[in-house]
Parts: sequence; C-alpha cells; structure tokens
Amino acid sequence: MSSDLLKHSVNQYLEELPQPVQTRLYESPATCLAIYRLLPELAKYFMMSMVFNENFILLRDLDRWVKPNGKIQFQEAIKSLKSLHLIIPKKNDTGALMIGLNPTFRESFKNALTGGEVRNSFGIVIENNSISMDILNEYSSSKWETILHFMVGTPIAKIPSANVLNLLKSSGLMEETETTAEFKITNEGFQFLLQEANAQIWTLLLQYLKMAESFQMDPVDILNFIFMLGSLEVGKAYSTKELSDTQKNMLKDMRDYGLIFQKNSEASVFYPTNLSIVLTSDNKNAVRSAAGALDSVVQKNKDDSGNVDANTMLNDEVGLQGQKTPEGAVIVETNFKLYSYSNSPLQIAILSLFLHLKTRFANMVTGQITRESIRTALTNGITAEQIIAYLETHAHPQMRRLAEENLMKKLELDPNSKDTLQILPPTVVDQIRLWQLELDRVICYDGSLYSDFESSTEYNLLSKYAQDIGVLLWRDDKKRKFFVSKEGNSQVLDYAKRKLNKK
Amino acid sequence: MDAIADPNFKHQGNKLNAVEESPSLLTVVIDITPQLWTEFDGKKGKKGNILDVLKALIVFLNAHLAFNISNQVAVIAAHSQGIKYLYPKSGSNSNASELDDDHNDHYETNTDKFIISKNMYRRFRNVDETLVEELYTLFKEEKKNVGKLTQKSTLAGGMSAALAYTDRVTREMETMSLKSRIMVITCGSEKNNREEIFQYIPIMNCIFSATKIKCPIDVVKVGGSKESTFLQQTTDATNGIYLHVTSTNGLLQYFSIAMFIDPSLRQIIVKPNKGSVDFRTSCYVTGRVVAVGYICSVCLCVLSIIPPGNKCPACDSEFDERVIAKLKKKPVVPRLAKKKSSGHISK
Repeated sequence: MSSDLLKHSVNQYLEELPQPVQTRLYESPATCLAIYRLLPELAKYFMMSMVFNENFILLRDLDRWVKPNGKIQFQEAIKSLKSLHLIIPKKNDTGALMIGLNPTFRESFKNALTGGEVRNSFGIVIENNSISMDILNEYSSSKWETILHFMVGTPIAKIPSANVLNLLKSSGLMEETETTAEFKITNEGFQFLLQEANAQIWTLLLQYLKMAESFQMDPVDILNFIFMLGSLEVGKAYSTKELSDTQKNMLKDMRDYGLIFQKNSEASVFYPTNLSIVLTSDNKNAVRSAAGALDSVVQKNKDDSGNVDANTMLNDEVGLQGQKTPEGAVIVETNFKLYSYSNSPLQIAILSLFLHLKTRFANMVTGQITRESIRTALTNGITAEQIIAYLETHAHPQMRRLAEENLMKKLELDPNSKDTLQILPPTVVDQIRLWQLELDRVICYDGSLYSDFESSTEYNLLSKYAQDIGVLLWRDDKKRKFFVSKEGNSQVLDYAKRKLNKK
Repeated sequence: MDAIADPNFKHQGNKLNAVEESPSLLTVVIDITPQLWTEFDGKKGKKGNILDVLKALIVFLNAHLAFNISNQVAVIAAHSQGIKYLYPKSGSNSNASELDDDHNDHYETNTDKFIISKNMYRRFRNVDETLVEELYTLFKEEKKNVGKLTQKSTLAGGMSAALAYTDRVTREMETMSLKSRIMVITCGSEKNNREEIFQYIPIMNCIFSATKIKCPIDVVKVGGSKESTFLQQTTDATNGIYLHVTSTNGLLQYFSIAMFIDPSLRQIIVKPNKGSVDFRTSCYVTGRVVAVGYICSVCLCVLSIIPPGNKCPACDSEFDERVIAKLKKKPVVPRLAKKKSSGHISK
C-alpha cells in the first residue's frame, strides 16, 4: 500500500513539471525506463503496445481491450498517461479521438529496450575496479541509519552532516527548538519513520529537488541522475566523467545519504549502493529498511563463515541479492501480542512508537499492542492506517503465506467473494482503527446556522430545499433551526431571497 | 458513532481494491528444432526466419524486465536432442561453457557479443549476453549433429522443464508472491502433425500441473497450419493466449500486444483469442485424432482400435475377453421390418 503512495508522490511531482521540462526529461532512456516503471500496470501495457507502433490508435479500441470490470483501472491509466504528456491526443477525419505516443519518449524508450542509442544514460562502467559488497552495504546502512537514529533520538547516534540536517528541517520532518537549538522530531517525522526505505529516500529527494530549484540547479539534470542511480548495478564502479556539473555537485549530497560511495571526494569513480537501487523499485522485499540491511550484513557474515546455502548460490545466479527471509519480520497474534525478530536498536525504537515493549531476547523482542500505546502514537500524529501498513509490510512471510492460503480456500468455495488478503488478524486491525475513532468523536464542519424564522412554513420551505440539494447537516424542527454546510450556503440564501421576497 | 465510523471504513475498502502490483516470472520455451525451421525457410523462400524470432524475443524479454523491477525471465530451448536452459545458465553447464569460452574467446567477442550494446541497461545486458552466448554454443552443437541423429520435437519436455523451473522459483521466492506465466514459441510445419500427436500425453500432464500452480501458458505458432489441437487446448485450459502468425515480419508487434499481458492484468484485459478450440484427443497406438474411441477402464487411455493382444498398451492391464468379443462383433444389419426391436436382439 505504501508503495502506491510512493508512486503517487513521485508521479505527482513529475506531473507538476512544465511540459518542456518533461520533454527534456524524456530524452534520457534511463529516465524513461524509470518513469515507465512508475506507471500503473494497465498504463504500462498500453505503452508497450504503442511503442513499436508508429500509428495513432483509436481511444475507443483501447477501451475495448479492457473488460467492464476494469474500467476504473482504465480511467486511471489514461489519466496518468495524459498528465505526464506521454500520449498525444488527435482527432481523426471522422472526429473520433485517436492517441499516439509522445515521439521523444517513444524514441528513448525504444533505445532503452533495444540497447540502441543510449548516450551513457545508464552510466559508464569502469571494469576491474570492483568493490566488495560488504563495504558498500555497511557504508550505506551506516549513513542511512545515522539519519534515522538521529530522528528517533537514540543517544548513541552520530550527528549527520549539515546538509542532511538542513534537508530534515526544510522538509518539516524535524524542527529546531528555539531555546536550545536542538532538533526535535515533528509529527511528519514520526510518520516518515514508519514508511519503507524507498518512500523515505524519495521523500528526502523530492525535498532536495525543491531546494535545488531555489539554487538554480536544473531539475532535469537532478532527476536524470537520480533515475540513473536506480538503474546501476551494485558493486560496479562508475565513471564521473560524463556527468554534468550539477550532477557532480550532487555526488557529495548523495554520499551523505548513503546512496553512493566514493573512496574520496576527488575520486573519478563512484559506487552505487543498494539504497540507490531501491529508488526505482517498488519491491518492498528488495530492501525492507536500512535496519534490515544492517542485520542482513551481519547475517551474511555468519553465513560466509559457515556454509553457503544453496539458496544464495541460486539467487546470485539469477542476479538477485537479499531475497532471504527479511530481518525484523513481525508476527502479530489475535491476542494483540507482537513478536519481532530483530535486535536492531532502530527497529526496536520504531516499534516502541506504538507498542508496549515487554521482553527482549537475543534475536527478538516481544510486546503488546495496548490502547495506551496506540493512543501515544496517535497523539504523536501517526495514523492508524500507517501503523497497519507498517505491520503489514513487515509481516513475517509465514503470516503472509497463511493469509494467502486462507484467501485461496475462500475463493475456491466462493469465486465471487470480495474478500481481500488479510495478513494481520482482523480483530487487531479493527481495534486499532476503533482506537483512532475514539479520538475523532467530534467532527467540525464550517457552515451557517439558520434560526429565528417567522413562520413554520418559511422554516419548512427552506429546510426542505436545503435537504433536497443535500447541504443540510442538522435540523431541529421544534426549535426551528437548521445548519447548512459552507458550500451550500449561498444556494440556500439565493433561494430564500427569491422565495421570501416574492411574498 | 456508526455515522462517523462509516466513512472511515469505506475509505479503507476503496484503498484495498487497488491492485497491488506483484512481480512476475516469464519462462519462454522456444522450439529450435533445425528441421522445422529449415522447412519453414524453404516454404517462405527466405532464410533465417529463426533469427527474426530470436531478435524479437530478446527485445520482448527486455520489455518484460522493464515492466517491473523485480520481474524475472528464463529461457529454455527445446532442440533436436533435448532441452537446454539458455537463461539462467544451468549450474553444471556453466563450468563446461567457461572452458569452451577459452577456446573460441576471440571469435565470440568479435562477433556475437558485439550485437549487444555495451552501454545498455545492466539487467537487460546480463540476460541478453548470456542468451546470445548460449544460443551460439547450442547452434554449434546442432551443426555437428546434422544428419547423424534423428531429430524429434522435444517441445513437451521443454514445457515440463519450464513448469518445474517456475515451481522452484515461486517456492524459493515466496516472500515476493511471484506470479508466473510460460510462453511457448514453436514453428509449425505441414508434416509434423504426427510428431505432435505423440506428445499428447506429456502435454496433457503439463496442462494439469500448470492449472494446479495457476500458471497460464501462452503459445505462439509461427507458420504451418493455423490450428494446433493440443497447444490450443493448453492455452484454453490454462487461461493463456494462442497466437498463430504466418510470417516472422513484425513479430515484435505481435509480442508486445498479444503476449504482453501480465498475469495480474489477465482479469481485466480481453484476451485476443479466437473462439473455437478443438477438444479432441489422440489415439495412444496410432496417433490419430479421434472423436469417438475406446477407453481403457483402468488408466483411461484413449484408443482408436482394439489393441493387439487384448492388453492395454499404456498400463498393461488385460481386457476381459467377453467384452472384447462383444466389441469386435460386426454390427447386425436388421431387416427393415424388425427395425424397432433390433436393439434388443443384438444385445
């Protein structure tokens, strides 16, 4: 769910860019690939069907490809394609609406797929200059953890660089208290901590983009660099030669976030880390969080000393790393007890935001979800949805499997069942939501109160009209008073003037 | 309380309706039996049709990898002597091919790898390079075998291997809830009907296991007759797509439209399938496609003739002689007048 959120926020940023900037962005094949991956699935399918087809096609035909139960997705797909200016509408002779692909995008995307003219947009590899994965993983997770630890306020934390602090402040994740000039985490900051690693990085990078614009840095250069980072291969060295000046300036900042590694600041090569790969990925299992990354490094060292199991061998063959059972997996029971297989202080600190921690073992912590613990979280500005999403994405694979099996059984019994995958026990999910609702006992509406009517006919006339147009929020017939929402007020007033003046 | 609670829960419901994107695995089984393709080349009067297919396939694989960052691909070749994993390289073979590499290193780097651009996106390049390399060694082996050994179609074997691979990968990466599909590319010739028919039982077995692991099988048939009884049955039973193309021109366009439907999109996209599927089966002994035939009551194998020796050719169970005798009895042609009671008499 949060990956959707992430896509949404990145897409929104891209959609808001002026069209000339978008067109310049589409000149880079790597950027096109990354943008393509951010689109909704149906949109991706449509795009692919149009890439190798130079002709315009009827919008009606696209519509026919989709079954009636997929109309929502269809609308969503067309909307996102339009707002990114990826499709160009045109009327044909008979007046029917035709659409074609943006020619710049088509050219670049074709090149990306066929390996044609890619103009170094996927980086230049320097062979024979590789680096061990362990160093990279350790570097990236230590950098990233420093930021997170600083936000949680762990006493042992090192202080991140001034740039990072500036970014945290301007994004509103932390604020400087006026008296002591100390940094204090804000409500947004708490919410930020519960997000997945890729969403977190993007939040910071979008903020970075906004700040960079004020320094007259070209957003196209920055975005191209960010998307390029997402398409590189971890463990390879890349040359800085072909980078533009803006991008060279960015290297230092990216180093501070742990996205890239350089042996020293003047080095002519840089190494992308696994954090940078997460940028264009919505795969929550690639890197769960930096905490998980650090744990997996520890785990890996253990594995290396022992026997290398067949699993990792195969994964290397297929070209994937880190697909093992993620560290920090959480099990939630129906009795509100929670077990988390993690000993990373960060994971524990995050859990303690909404959990009453009970015991700590060598490789796990246990805790209880209580009304108090959830309320503390809610008053800190964390929403019930965020807690649930966090628990869902960090759920232990066993829980996921169990839920999938249950769903499968249900679907076999009743193929039309509308049930969705329930990873967490429904009792817990509902209860957390109910605890949030406890805080929302009062809902405020802006509007106007109508009272002091001369006669009941007058009252009835107006209140009935307000009800008919659906703006009536509350009425009391005895006291002859009713309340109308802000949006409907002017309509009711107009009506009153027309009707009552006539008499 | 209810009035307040409602909007909150409704909102949640809408959110859950959104399709969660999950990565998918595409396993391609390609039939590269040289005999079939040469026949096809001869018929079209154009050489190297298989190269067109392979070129389109490589771009198609890239497109699949572009669809989602954690998408996976695998390619299996069904050649005249068996099957071979082209990507990922099979473990035991990799050592051997490394040795081979030393031999013809200069040749390969000069020609084959040159096709793949150096600056291509790394994930594409890794797949494409391995694929081209493995194909090259495979074709060389095939060349040695020309004329020496009998050639037979190993498509069903390739499909079984694809299913086994799919099952293994989904199990290994169950944390990712990987979806999967299989695509079969074959070349049809006029003569191979008989060949295909003997693959009926293995293909049926593939269909059953594919439906069990909910893996759709798509089929592209290049050239040959328009229909392909058993492969069409395969796509029909597994919710796959059957596509027949007459030439390899513009194959990529076909791939990127008809074959690009991700498993997660199958529920909402109209499949480009044609209506009718031939559901007939084949005889175990003669290989003829039969509409009405005999069935062994033990193993359910279908026969068009009464087998010699009164034994089931598949499971060796002996048939009851009386039943056989009854079946062998010539039909009685009754006189017209006794038409009504004829049924009772013949019994």
